[in-house]
Amino acid sequence: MKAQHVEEEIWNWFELTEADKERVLLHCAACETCKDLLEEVQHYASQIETLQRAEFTPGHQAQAVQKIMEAINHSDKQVDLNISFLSRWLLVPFQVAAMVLILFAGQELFSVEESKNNQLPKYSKASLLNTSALLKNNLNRKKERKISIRELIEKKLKK
Amino acid sequence: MTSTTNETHWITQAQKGDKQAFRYLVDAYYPFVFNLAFRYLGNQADAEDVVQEACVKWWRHFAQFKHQAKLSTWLYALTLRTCMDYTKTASYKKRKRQQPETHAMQIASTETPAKMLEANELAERFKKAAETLSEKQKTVFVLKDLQDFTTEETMQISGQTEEQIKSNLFHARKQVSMYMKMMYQTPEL
Repeated sequence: MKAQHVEEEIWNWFELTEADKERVLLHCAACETCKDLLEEVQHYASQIETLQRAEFTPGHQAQAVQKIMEAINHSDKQVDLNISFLSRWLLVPFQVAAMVLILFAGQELFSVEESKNNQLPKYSKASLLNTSALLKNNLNRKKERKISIRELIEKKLKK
Repeated sequence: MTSTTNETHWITQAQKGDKQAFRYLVDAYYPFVFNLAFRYLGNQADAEDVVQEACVKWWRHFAQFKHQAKLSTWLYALTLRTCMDYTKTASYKKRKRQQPETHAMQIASTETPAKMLEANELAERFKKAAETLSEKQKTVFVLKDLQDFTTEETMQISGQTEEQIKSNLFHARKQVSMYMKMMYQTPEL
């Protein structure tokens, strides 16, 4: 057995099982140091027992309980105050913000419904005419450019 | 009704917010909780303060208590945590520095005056020895040795594993015993 392990077992003598106690006792029979340590532990245990027997009774329990109940009432009042503070300074603005959000959402829904009912065309006539005119212009320009480039190359080759 | 069902009734009522029922419970558990706080802190004034604080926490968080565990175990754990927090406060440290000897333990429930004196002296020395321990060692020492709880109860109250309890107990007992020996050799300590 390792010395540290035995020492720990001796100090935890009262937590050992009967089988463990037998084993430690066998070891102590052959080891003077461990035997002395076991005696020291027994002495420690007797001192502890004296302290365990002693009860530290509170002097004025009724007064102490009364003080505790007063402290609880005070803490309850404090909690109530905190809640009223929260409701005054935080809950009311939150309620207003929530109402504004609800109104906004309602308005959005209403506008979507309205647009569905109206079924407006995607593009106006004017915009379509404009676009077609723009495309025609572009095509013309491209054609013009092609001719002009070809002419330019031919001219260069001739030169 | 038996005392257990009676207690369950008071607990249920108190959890619903009945202060009269809560007062009954405080009255019933006060000596046990006070004993633990007194043994952990070593003086009456601090123990009373801590018990008051623990009871306010008890009232506020009582809804969290489930009937699967014993109320005493739940309360001991709450008191222990309050004790630990209290020892870290500046006011406790200041008081301890300023008046280290004014709040000695007073044991009154021993058989003879001579034994009472002996027990008081012993308690004072153990208190000093316990102050040299780490928080975890002190917790296990107070619960296992001074309060005489089982390992199972100590595990539930302190939240430490069985291995941790064994190890901390070994170191705590060794150190306390060494300190006691040293104090008996030099009584002026």
